[in-house]
Amino acid sequence: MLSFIIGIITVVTIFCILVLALNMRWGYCGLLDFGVAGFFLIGAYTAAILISAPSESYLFGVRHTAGYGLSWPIGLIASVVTSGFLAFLIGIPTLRLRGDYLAIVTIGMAEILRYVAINEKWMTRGVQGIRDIKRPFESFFPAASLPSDIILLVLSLTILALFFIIASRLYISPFGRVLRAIREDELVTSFLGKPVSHFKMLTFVLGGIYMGVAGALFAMYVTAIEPYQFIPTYTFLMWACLIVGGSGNNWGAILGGALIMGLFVQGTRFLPSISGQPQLIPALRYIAVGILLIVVLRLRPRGLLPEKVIEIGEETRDVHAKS
Amino acid sequence: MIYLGFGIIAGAVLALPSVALSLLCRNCKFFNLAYGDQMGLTAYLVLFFNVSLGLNFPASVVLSLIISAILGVIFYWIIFKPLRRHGPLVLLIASLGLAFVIHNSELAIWGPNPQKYNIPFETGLRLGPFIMTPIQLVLIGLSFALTGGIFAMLRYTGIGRAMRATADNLELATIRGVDTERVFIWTWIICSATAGLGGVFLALITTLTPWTGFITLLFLFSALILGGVGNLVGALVGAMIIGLVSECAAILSVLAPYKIAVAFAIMFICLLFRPSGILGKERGF
Repeated sequence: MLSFIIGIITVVTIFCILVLALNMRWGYCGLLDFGVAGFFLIGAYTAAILISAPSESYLFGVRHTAGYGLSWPIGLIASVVTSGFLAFLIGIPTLRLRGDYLAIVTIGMAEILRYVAINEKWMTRGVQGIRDIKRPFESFFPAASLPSDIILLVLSLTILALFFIIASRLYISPFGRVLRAIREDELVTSFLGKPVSHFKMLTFVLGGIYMGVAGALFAMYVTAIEPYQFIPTYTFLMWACLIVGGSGNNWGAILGGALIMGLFVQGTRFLPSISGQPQLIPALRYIAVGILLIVVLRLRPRGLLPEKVIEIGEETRDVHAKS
Repeated sequence: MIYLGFGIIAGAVLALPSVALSLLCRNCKFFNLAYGDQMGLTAYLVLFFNVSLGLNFPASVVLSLIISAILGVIFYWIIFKPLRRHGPLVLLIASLGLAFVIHNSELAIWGPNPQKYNIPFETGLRLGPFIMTPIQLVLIGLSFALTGGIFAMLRYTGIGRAMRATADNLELATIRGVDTERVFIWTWIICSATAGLGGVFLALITTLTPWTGFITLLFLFSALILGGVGNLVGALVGAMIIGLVSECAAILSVLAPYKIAVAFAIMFICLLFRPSGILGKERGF
């Protein structure tokens, strides 16, 4: 039971990192990113391929050749590199354009990456997924033991805390001020002489790095990953967390992550499943989250913990009222 | 040559919904991510009437399209109209939420397995180099006829003119006495019904799963952006190009599982070199 609770807290922590990254992109800078699942996937697969040992198995006649058996910090750093680079590549054509285009490109990119994970069996073992991903210090503590779970929980919480501090410092720094200015009005910001595309790219890449690290942690936690774990549903869940929690506010992002991923998604696992309908409970759960997202957008568009808005003159400006 | 035939079918089937989606984007000024799932939902409604209730196929299509249109207006009233003041990006997020509600409703009601309609199996006809079933020929014909219908509606009817005026400049249209609320409602009715029909076409040429709508949405958006967002002719041309190229790419067996990736690669190149699309104006939509 204890390890079960630790497991839930670890998963929620990892998803909170994702929500934090999304907050940096959308909450700070107004970048509409619907590819969370894709960055998560690339981080997870990079770490998994580097950390897991090479397997000799043949799947559908294709030999799985990847798997390098390296140590976990290398996997973590490599996923930072790949997810950051992916964000950079996607940013080149889209960040110059209206925000909508970024949304479309990222949503498609996430889906394409999932297809790559399904089809490139030599690298990813297809739908079978990569198994036996080594956890940190596995030679001392075997994977399924309580100490190993605790180590991973501590590692995840440390990284979350570190990322939270970085994100919060960033928010109040001059850099963060420019990001918020871009969110409010891109044209005015560029008239003030700020290189808007440059700032957007930095934020986008930083968000990608956050998501990649979350993916690597996730791969280490579950020790076996498969493409089905990276369906667009997760992108949507992260958006629900951010909007419900309060975009622009890091505490809101964490609150939303804990509420929706912890209570709504993990908490409802204890509900008895209906026999013969294994899809029913998850589907109903996501319907509820979707309705919650729309209701919050309509009734409390700034979320449970709204961003503090600095009042200018008499009127308080709506933070997300754009164009 | 077989691939070319597939490409023509795919292009024709994509053409109708992509023109309607382009119209919706142009009039309502945002990308509707729930569009693909609206297509899927209507296809499932047809399944419900056709297979579960045993109605004949045309009757169930008509019933489903009416429901689809009504649902479209309801979505507009309860979600998109109240959120309009927050701008296009918030509308996009709301449409993502709606897309997942619809997708998971399909999953909850009909389950994840592929479904098929209760229609007689047809053998292919040989037409020159192509092999097509009669139903596919009907689909191609209907798709182009209805696309032409949308263009004619925009050009020759009062509501079509009002739509163009509203899309061009909402404030000006309002000042000149165009009933913009009526325009929006008709846009949602027409586009939702067309989406539904597109979904049914798609379910006829492929199989129907809860993911069909979402996957199609990606093709539709690459067609839309390739053609130039808000340009209806562009959407038509874009849909044909995307349909043809993504199907013909399957000639190379490496690319066979990556139809979406091919469609997106075309869109990506287009965004790099001509972000406004091949027929779009600089201004966008």
